[in-house]
Amino acid sequence: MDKQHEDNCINCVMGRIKKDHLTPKPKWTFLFHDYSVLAISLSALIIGSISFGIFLNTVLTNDWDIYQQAGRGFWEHVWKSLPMLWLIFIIICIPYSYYAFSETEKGYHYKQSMIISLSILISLILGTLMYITGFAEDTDDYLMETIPYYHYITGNHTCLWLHPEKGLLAGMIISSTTNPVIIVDFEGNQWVTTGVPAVAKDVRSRIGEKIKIIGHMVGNAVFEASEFRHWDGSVEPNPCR
Amino acid sequence: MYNTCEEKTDEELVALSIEDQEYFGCLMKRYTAPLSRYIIRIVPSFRDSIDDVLQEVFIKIYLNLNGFDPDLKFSSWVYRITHNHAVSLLRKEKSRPKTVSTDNDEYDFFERYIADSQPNEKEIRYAKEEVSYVLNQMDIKYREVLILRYLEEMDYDEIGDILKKPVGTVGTLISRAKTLFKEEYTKRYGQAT
Repeated sequence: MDKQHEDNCINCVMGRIKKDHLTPKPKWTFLFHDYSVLAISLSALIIGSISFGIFLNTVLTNDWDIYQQAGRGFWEHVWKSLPMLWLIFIIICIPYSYYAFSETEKGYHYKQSMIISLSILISLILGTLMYITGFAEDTDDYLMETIPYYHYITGNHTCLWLHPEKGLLAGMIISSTTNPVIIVDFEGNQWVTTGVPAVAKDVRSRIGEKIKIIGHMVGNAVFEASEFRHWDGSVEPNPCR
Repeated sequence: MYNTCEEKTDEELVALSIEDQEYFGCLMKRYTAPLSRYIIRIVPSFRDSIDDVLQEVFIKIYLNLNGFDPDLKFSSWVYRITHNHAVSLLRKEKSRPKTVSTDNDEYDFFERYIADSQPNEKEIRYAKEEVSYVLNQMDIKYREVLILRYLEEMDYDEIGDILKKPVGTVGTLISRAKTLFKEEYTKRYGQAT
């Protein structure tokens, strides 16, 4: 490009800037963009962490041993028990967090593998902390109470325990002064439990306490219990509908 | 105006241009030639309309002056905007016939990185076209790093800032691009002289 040509080009640009009254975009628009991208990245990381916390809570509190009573094969039980929604959230959030971070002003300096590894590590640590502190369980309970049909997409665990004919029963204790314990199951039916169950840790057999019972039905509204288990978390509304 | 800004750095001129648009002319004066050369290397089919392309690029640069990150070299930032614009043109103009761009720099690339011995004049003339042809046949992700490294003579940090890639990735891309270039060149023209 010769000098004459160069000058023409410069004059054209300067002429257009003046004619169209062009001015540089304000600084705040760039700051807004940068902080928005960073916020999206952090949000994805936090949502991923919460997802992992709830996933961990579900996996660790799930009754993995009752698949035979439930009439399921082991792998079918695993498949139906895993909170797929949260697993999907984890799978989406980690790469999204990476993508958003790499779009930040300095994000491109870091290697893809390093950002993804760090995202996974942070999600695991934060998620575990959320599980330990009970935040993950509280969040899961809150979502179950406020979002309609939430339990359909995260795995219906309450209904599993409303099959006395299969030896699985769950409900709230309404009388436990002496043996037998009387409960109201989560569909509103009253049951008298007989037998001397192995009382699991954390089960205090107090009125108002929610418990799971393994045993077998011995009559109309009578259930012979072989084991009591503590009920973790909320009860899904209309669990078997 | 253009004489008064010769001693000023790019960064000082950016600050002045935001306040007074006349100073932007100084920045354009510095970058018109290198950027037009770079655009033609990335999208040779735009050689005839380089003025229009260059004007669009400078208008983009002007509008985004407040987004310039002082941690970067201004040249890297300017090349990044130009690169993005050129690549978007390349995507739009895939169907345009490829033209061969040749200048002495292409031969320098050949001489420094491909050839093993000093060729004669006739070989030099052919080599320019051959190098350009092979470069233009390469995938843009390899072509762009070869152009930035060996024709624009940028270091790895600058290339990383322009392409928004980590320095390690730039090194890997350059190494792979060189291998691919040699393979393609040898396949088409035989062993480099």
